[in-house]
Amino acid sequence: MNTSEPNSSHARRKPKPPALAGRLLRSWLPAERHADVLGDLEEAFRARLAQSSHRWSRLWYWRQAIWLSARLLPEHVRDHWLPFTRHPAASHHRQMAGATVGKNTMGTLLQDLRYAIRGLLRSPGFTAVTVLTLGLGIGANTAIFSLVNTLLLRPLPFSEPERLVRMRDAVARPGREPWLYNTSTRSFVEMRERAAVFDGIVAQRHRIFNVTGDANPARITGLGVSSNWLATLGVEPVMGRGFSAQEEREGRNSRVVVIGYGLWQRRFGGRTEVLGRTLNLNGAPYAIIGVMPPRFNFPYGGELWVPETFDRSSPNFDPHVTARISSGLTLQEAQVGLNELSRHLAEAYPDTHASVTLRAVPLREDLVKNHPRLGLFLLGAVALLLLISCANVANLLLARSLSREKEFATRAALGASRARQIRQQITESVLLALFGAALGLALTSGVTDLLATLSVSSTGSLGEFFSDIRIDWRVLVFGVLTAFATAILFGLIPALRASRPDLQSLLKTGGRTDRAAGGRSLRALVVAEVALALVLLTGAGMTFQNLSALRQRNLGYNPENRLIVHLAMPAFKYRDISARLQFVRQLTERVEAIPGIASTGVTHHLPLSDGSDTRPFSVEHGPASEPGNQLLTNIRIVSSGYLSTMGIPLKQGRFFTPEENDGSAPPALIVSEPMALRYWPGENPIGKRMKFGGLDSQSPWRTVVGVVGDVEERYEVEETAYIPYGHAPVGDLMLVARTATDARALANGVRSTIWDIDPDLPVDRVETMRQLVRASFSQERLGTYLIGMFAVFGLSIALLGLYGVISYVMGQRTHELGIRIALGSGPPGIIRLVLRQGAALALGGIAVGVPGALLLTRVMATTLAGANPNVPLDVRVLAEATTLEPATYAGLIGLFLAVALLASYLPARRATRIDPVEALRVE
Amino acid sequence: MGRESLGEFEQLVLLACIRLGAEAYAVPIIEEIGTRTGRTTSHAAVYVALRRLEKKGLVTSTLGDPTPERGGRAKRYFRVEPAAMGLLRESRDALLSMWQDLETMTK
Repeated sequence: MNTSEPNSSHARRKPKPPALAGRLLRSWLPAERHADVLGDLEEAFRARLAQSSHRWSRLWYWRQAIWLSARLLPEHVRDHWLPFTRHPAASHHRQMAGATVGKNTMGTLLQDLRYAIRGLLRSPGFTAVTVLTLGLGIGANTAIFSLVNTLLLRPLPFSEPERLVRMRDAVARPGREPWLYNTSTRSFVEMRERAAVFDGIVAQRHRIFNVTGDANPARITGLGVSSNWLATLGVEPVMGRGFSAQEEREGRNSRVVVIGYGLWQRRFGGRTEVLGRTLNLNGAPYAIIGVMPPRFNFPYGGELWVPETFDRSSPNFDPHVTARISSGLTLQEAQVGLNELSRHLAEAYPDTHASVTLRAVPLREDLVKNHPRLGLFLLGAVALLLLISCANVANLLLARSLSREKEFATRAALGASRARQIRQQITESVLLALFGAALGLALTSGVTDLLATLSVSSTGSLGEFFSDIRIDWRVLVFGVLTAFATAILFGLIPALRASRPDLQSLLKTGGRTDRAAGGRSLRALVVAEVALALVLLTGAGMTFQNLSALRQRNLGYNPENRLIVHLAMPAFKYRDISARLQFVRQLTERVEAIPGIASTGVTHHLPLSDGSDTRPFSVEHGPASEPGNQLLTNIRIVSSGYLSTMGIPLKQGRFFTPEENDGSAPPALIVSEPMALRYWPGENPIGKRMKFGGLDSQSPWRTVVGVVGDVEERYEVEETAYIPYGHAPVGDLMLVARTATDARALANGVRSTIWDIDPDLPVDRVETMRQLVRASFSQERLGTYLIGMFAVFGLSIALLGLYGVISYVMGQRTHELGIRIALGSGPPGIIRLVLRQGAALALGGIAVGVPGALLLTRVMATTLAGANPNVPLDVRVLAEATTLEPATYAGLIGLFLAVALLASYLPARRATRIDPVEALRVE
Repeated sequence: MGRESLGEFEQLVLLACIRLGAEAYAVPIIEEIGTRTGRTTSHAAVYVALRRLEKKGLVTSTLGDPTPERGGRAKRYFRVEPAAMGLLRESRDALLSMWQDLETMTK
């Protein structure tokens, strides 16, 4: 029963005037006029309602509000805002004292504004080019900032999110950074009971649910959560409730579930009757008791939450643990308390906790990992682009102000002060920049989907929050501040120059002065533009170089013509190991029988997939894992056909036999080449033995039967051990099929074959290995293309600037060129002369730009190298960014020079067509 | 400095105020102008005119009591000052004398 529904007898409310229009008026009307003006409008609105429809009356109200704003606002601003205070009494005092400063300031500003708008409208071409240049520059900045904002600034959807930390078991490794594991159940239980530094702590266990019943079977990520789930995170369901204390105690037996907003929309069409309905999870009915807010897929992209008990007797799995630090404590203080507890645990449980430190990682840092790097790097690139845009606009303004010198001189002669002239020019600049910012924000709103690709994947922890890029107030403020900063940057030099004309000579010569100084500023700006463009181009070159290296890298397997099917055997149906083995045997045999499929295999973990599965191990007569000193290897459970199907080359020994696959043969092991080289250097590894865990662990000795090539993985552990499926028959699998032709064409056949074997088996994803590989560096690709695009923009703007300046200088030298032509200088001579000018400017830019680019390379190499080993190398382009090959560099500079000469060739051609008679008459 | 004179719309507003007497606030002023001249007037225009007249000292305003049909907000009543009466009279005389003997020509 919903009790919050308002009493229906009160529901018949009188229609009200549009609230937004009222707020608009209230926002600027002086407080003492609120009552009468809004009262008049409401009274008239009511009278109107009696005669016409509600809609028309609202429309009428809006029209009045807009008219009022348009007619009264300018006056109001002058009287109330500008003289430093809005208080009407102050304005009264000023009037009494006869002070008119404030009024004049506002009057001046309005006058400047009017004048600026008139001026800009008079030269629409100049205005359009400037606004477009600034719009692109500012737009690129606000767009990238909106990404950085989402990754780093926008508050996470929890209350007081800054107090939340992700807990990790940091396991010491010899000579390397500790490895950050999920928290073990034991650590969690100890922290829940003993850690005084937390106000709350919650464990969430990753679970895959086969959801059946009312619609297609689906495989949905869910979470088993400990008590205090919502209280710790500080979140409320949008509908229904969280778990009661009773349900938390009963754990799974309570048979209640809270569902995610997305799932509610997809599966139940967002209907409110969903509360109380049942959902079949892994074959058991669960009652739906609540719906979480939109975009709350935390952690692991989960969409279903069920209560789960965690205690000392819980099986040994490692949940995702989030804790809320007690208010008033800093992270460091909390960590001190945790270190204390870690020491206690090491003493109490020397077998498991000897080398474990409980580590608190700020939740945001844990969620975004190294994604912000790409964002910050892009922000650097767009800042350069904006600087180039600024230099270019400054040039345009300067050229314009040089041609307006006479106007300024006249104004000065009529008594305009220097400050006033500067203010006038700055007003114009600010206006241009604000138009640019408006255009930029419009551009940003058009590319938010594209930017989402650069953010955390939407299926990751809270991914839906991070891929929801939006323009919020931070982005708006950033856009406006950028606009003002830009306006000062590009507007100040021209303003200062224009405000200091040499009156006498200017008026005497009827407008022509020695413009050498102006020309110098123009040239300096164009050199700066060229230099900045070169730096940007170098950065782009570096990322492109790294991207192509990333594409051509040796993966260690063949991704072509490989079809991947993600499968999850429902645990309730495949409880028996023999049932699983039989299913896998049937699966591989029957899929192999499909025409066009050459071979098949299964694995529980593909290269480049999320997450990692590593185990400590010990080598017989060799190094061994001990508490405090663990040897780690990736572990991959594979069927006998997997390695050959993937095209992973056999270096020594043999692949698994069918008997090993079924678990009927003694435990065998295949190791990767780096593992063989590291643990049996100079020996034949075949026949050697190792086991998982320490030397005294219960795990059996396994004999190495083969050595295979290295495969690229997302995590840092280089060694990989493959064990046959029969020895660890897990339920979550990926089927790999090698096809003779295009893998995608066979997807449907494979799917129906699987449903032939088991119609209840959810098959949620079928894709090709090539798609997986491409997806693994989609961010690098997009980031690189963006940087490349920015570099091309930057280069084009710089060249336009160069072209403009050469044209301008040639225009100034018409007289001189005329004399040269009259004295017999032919077109080739003139062209050489002009090109020399262009080349000088470009070379000047290159001379400044090359050291800048080298510095950038150095900075990138030092700050970006050495990525945190505990996070997957998601943004490898930057992690490996180092230097640009000299040949590429020389090519870049050559290209640059060539286009610079091209940009000056056009004005040169024009110069040859100067008619000497005309040119001399200009004087 | 020339003599102050009234614009046409200012005259309409002032005359409406005089007609309404103690009940002169924006809403009935607009109605009065509407019913007598057939003109639709925006609130903005009336506020601007009243503000200007108030600044010139031709009208004064006081806040009344809040009423429920206005969402509990007060009315601002306007009263015409004697100076305005003089100006209105002058405007009327000027117009009448200009119109003298011309009535038939514009029929």
